[in-house]
Amino acid sequence: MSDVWGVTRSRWSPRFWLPTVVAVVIAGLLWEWIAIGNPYLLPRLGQVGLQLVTETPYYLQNAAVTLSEALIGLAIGLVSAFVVAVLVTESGLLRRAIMPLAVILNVTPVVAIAPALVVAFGFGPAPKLIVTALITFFPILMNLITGLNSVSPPVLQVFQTLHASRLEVLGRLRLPSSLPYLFAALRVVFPLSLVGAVVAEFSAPGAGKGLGTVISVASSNSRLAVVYAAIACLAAMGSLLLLFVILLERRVLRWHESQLLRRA
Amino acid sequence: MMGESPGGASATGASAGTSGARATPRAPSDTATSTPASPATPGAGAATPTSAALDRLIVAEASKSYGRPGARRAALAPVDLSIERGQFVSIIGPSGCGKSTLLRLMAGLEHPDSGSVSLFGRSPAEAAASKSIAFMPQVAALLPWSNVLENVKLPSKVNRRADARRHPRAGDPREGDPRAGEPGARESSAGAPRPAAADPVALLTELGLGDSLRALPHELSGGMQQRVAIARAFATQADVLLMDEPFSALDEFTREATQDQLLLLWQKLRTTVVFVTHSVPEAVVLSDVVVVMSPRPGRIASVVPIDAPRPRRHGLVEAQVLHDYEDLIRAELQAAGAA
Repeated sequence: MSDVWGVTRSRWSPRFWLPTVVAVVIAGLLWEWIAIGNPYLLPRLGQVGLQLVTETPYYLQNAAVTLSEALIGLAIGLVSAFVVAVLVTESGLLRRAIMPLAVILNVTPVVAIAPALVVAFGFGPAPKLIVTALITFFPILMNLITGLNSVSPPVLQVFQTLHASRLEVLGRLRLPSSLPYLFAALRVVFPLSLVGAVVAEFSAPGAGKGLGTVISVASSNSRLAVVYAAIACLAAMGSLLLLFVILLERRVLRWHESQLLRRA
Repeated sequence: MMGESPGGASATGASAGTSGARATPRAPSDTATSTPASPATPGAGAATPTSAALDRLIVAEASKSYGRPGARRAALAPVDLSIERGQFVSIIGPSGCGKSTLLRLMAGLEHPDSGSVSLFGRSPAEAAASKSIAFMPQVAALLPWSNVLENVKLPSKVNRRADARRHPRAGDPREGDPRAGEPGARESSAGAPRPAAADPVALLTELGLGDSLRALPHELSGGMQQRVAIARAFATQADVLLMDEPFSALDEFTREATQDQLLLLWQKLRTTVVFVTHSVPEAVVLSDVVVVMSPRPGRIASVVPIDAPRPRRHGLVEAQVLHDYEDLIRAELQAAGAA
């Protein structure tokens, strides 16, 4: 690991891990101090931990449901954003036709659409997948469009003088050029996909499973320890998703400046 | 000999005796004006090409201006230029003299407002379709995600249809050309022409990059990246290499070393090269012919054949001859700028 200035330090040196540990301990103490005085504001950390330990299968089951909704929805959002981005960058006609719709879709709060989708598609997985796909679609689309257009003109001229076809320019030049932008979007939308899934679950409470349902039901019963146990699961899942994207990015973008800086 | 005006510098053909590679150098006035009348309309050069047109890169009355209607600025006044196959031609001039524009017209990256460009009897578009043009921009323009070898193989991976319908390559040069058997044509320069051009690994080894085949571009120095770009250009096995100030970003030492390596490779492969530069020594050491351009609007001020023996190399050639040519071209540039 290295910090911003490229000074490499050992992970095991206290200088590396101590600041993080101290910050976490202080935050934990603050939490406990508040929780002891205000049981309706925050549960005690011990109670949350006890929930997670004693009810592990319950939380794992619900987490799996939410995670699969998030990932499938994300996959739908990713594929459709990819298709639209390619169409829009290759054809001016399609750009003028599609982009206004995409922008309107983006400025509409997806949270507001979720209840309507539950009415339309019922309490099954469909509305959850749609909400997640919608919420992840636009960040990926915008970054991919920027990325597909980020080709350096001299390289494009080399392709032009070789009379490369549009498909060859797309596959050998535009798509690889767009990867850094795609990963910037993925860093945002992987954790965001959980938001989509949970919001959709809020809109259809009492039905099915999922951490959003757990939170919704438990908070209406004022069971704060359960609420925060579910939130802890979501936070852990979000962190793991982000970690996954970062590790994938390091492998795929070995050639890119951002990774060179990191290794410097 | 050196005191002569460019108009008298050539016709005796001294260089033919030293290199044996070319027909006699042509008088500048000849070079600049001998455009055949046949390509009267753009593309007509391909319809009924004369054998001379088949063997030349011809720019005929080509002009180009930029800007909106009403506020158009001429980048290139109508320009005539004729380049023999197998020659190394540099185009030199101050900024804004249209030298890059001229090169881009040859590459088919831009189209002339009037006049035409014919690459050995074909339009730039036709030549590009059969991968007969290798363009090398100012920066190395390598694919950062591909290693050195993959970058050099790029020309063979795109536009594969061109490989099938390619005109006959060296080996059986210019089939059907009445002049094919003529001595003094390009093939006399080597018994087995273009030995290395087909093989990217051989090309890279030739350029001193044999150990870096798997390296990514960012792991190479600027000079090495330019050599990879040179290898990619030669690997295209094009009829003509169009190079747009390719060494301008290199430091002086790297620049001279890279010029030497380009010369070494060119000496073996003898591809036609059009090389845009703003460095007088670079133009002189590399070229058979230096085209001097002047600005506002861009036009050809003079054409100077470099009548010095080959193979050339920094620190090896009779430096005085080249220095005299440098002085001559500097004088031409000054005259062109003042005019």
